[in-house]
Amino acid sequence: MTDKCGVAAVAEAESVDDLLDSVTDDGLTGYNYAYLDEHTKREVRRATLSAIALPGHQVPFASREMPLARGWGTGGIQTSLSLLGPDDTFKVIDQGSDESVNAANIRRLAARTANVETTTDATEASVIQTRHRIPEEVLDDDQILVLQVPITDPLRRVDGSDDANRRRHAHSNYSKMWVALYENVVEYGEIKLSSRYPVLVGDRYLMDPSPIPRWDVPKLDDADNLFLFAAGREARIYAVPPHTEVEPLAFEDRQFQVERFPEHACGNCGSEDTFLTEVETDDGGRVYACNDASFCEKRRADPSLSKAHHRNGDGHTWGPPTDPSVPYESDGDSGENRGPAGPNRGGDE
Amino acid sequence: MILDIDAVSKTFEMHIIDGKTVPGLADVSFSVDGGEFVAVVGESGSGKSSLLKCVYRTYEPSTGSIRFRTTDGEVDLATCSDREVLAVRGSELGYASQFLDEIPRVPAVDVVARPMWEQGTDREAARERARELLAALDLPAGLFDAYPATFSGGERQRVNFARAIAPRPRLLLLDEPTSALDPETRASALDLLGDYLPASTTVLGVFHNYDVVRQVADRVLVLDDARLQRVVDVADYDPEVLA
Amino acid sequence: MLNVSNATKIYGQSCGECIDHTGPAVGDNQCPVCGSVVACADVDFGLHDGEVLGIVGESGSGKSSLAEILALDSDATAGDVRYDAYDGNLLETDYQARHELRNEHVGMVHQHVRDGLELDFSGGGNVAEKLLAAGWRHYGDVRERVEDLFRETEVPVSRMDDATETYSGGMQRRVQIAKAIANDPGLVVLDEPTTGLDVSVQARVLDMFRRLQREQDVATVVVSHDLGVVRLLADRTLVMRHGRVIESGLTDRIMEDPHHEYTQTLINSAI
Repeated sequence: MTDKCGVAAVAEAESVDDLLDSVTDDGLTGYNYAYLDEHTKREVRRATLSAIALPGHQVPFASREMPLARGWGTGGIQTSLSLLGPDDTFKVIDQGSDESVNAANIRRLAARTANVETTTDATEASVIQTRHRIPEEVLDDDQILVLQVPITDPLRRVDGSDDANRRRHAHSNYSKMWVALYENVVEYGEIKLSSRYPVLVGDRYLMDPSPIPRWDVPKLDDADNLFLFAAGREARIYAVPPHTEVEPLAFEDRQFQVERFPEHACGNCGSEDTFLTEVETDDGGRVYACNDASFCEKRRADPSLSKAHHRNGDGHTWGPPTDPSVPYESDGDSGENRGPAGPNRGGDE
Repeated sequence: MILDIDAVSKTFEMHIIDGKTVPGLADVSFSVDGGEFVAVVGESGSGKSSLLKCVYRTYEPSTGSIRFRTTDGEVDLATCSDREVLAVRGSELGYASQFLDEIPRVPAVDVVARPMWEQGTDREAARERARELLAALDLPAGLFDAYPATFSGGERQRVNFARAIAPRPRLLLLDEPTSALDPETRASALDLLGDYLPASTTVLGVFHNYDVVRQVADRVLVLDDARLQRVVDVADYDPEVLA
Repeated sequence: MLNVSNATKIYGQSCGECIDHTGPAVGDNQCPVCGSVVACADVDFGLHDGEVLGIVGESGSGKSSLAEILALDSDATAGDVRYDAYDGNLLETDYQARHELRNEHVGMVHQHVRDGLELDFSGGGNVAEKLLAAGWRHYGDVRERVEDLFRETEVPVSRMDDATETYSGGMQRRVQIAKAIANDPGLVVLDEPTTGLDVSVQARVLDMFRRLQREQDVATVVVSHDLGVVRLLADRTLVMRHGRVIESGLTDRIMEDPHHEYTQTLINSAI
């Protein structure tokens, strides 16, 4: 709200040249703080608060046109920009990388219009906008992760009708999704969903965690930080507040599993407890490398660095354990059914 | 006394033919003792089947009472609730109509076994008993697992007869159960009545054949034109004497 | 176990006098005052465990509306339906209670397969949905139960993982029955269970259902325009016309000694 080219300036201008002359700054000049007008920010914040109040529930909001195409993170940008203040430090990740063109542009937009510091270090950022990944380093209770979401409703896998799906959410009627999982097991012998793995939030709403790998799904459960999910094209915001139970749907005898890379360590830093992606080298060979580029860099400097190194050894970790031979179970209740509501009558037959 | 029929009348109101009323039974009264075999005889259209159907409540009597002494006490089959009728049919009252009426595509042996397993007999035991009964009625063993819809009239009648007696009802209603049988098979059927059913079984049966009546009945009940003409001991029954 | 009194369903904004202006005496079920259609009115009956009740009538007699009300698939305009598994009037339940009842206590076999089955799911998946909705979370147990239900309803187990749209009409009907009985409901509602099936297939479906019905002692309401179906399945029968029950009684009594003029016409018209 501190721009030099406000309504008063426009009214005083006697010609377009006058107006252009007044545009001297290369930063905020000509734009409201943090690019969005205050009404838009208020609209987004209201939806965000509603979303936090109803964990996992998709809250509609008046998604605005942004200076890039919908589907390129417009929901995430609107959410980030309505959260940011001058004291914030902002990080943007695109599929694990801070350096992609889109991540760099979003970061620059925030730096120029909201005057925030930017960083690539997940432990230093107060707001992190991300596409398709959750950082490897454990987030804190003063951090917010904003995830870009292409498809908001997990039920769209099983029914294209949003009307019918909204009714299902209202009544917590998720049997169709369970049938899809059942059929998945029939076909493959296990639940084979590589991303957008459906999770039940707070024992109430079924939620699409956005296209993060299964590796990242357990990080949502009982985390210290706030997760916000925003879809500009679909005009929906939803949230997982800190310390909310987030349970991936699975059968008692077909447990949820994260990706495994048994024979591989990161070709750059040697890590065996991070999400790896296969990359082609210059000579045509294939190596596995950390997908979280900034953490990989830290590991290269210090291979023994733990994912919770910045938390003074509070023992809090997230994500899968280091030893790939140990099947991963969400913390501490191995094998025990933590499925959603409803009596467990499976064993009675 | 197991069955006491008092002043039973049945008239049919045929709305389709301008509300014309047709008498089925008129003021019929008689009673039957436990273990007795009563043959019902009369001309065609005299009301024999109507009488049986009134007792079974396939026809709802217009007036009168039909008191049946069950093991649980007395019910008036003319007026008791549908549910009471169903309960009595399920446990104590059997009925063999003239025509077999079954779900198509059910093997003969299962048609006969069904009433038994519906009363709680084990499925295989019921089938075994069904086979014994069909064998006793000279039905070729090759037909046991065939569908009765493909059978001849006599074969179907044997299935129907076996089904009615299989659960050993206390009161058995038979509507010309042997009309389509040859003399030999008829004899087997009548033997089976005596051998298979306990002596305490009460039977009310419609028969055409005088020899049969003489062979099985204790008393004979003669109907004519919907009215009861007389009830006589079988020894005193002379078919030549009409009303 | 089920007690229905005064069940009434009116389509349209009722003028309040629709019931007086419709019915068999008037010969119509559309109210001449306000144009509302009285699908069914003043229907009373009771059903005990294991009983089979038939409801017959021609198209538009209100029998399917009644079936939908009983299966909690549609709301009644008025009436009182009491059911053992629920404390209170079934017609006044909230969605959640209704959903639970429909999942675990009432099974419905629809006349139109698309109302009852998801055709692009597998046959097994359709049956599994009922179990999963009731909270089954053990894949192996679900699988085993679905296989058992396929065997009981005489659908080849080898086909259970094929898409339901590849099944024959008779198989689809049997899968619906498997689904309807999956959670051992106290009540099953069959709406025209054989319509659209070949005659030979009809017989098998009826015979299979009758065997299951007796074995499991499940109370059943069979709605059909086909007297043969009702004769073979039902102990007692209601005859409906213009939205009202005009005659009721033992099924064989209705068939052989019909009292009401319309029933006599109906019986005499049967092929």
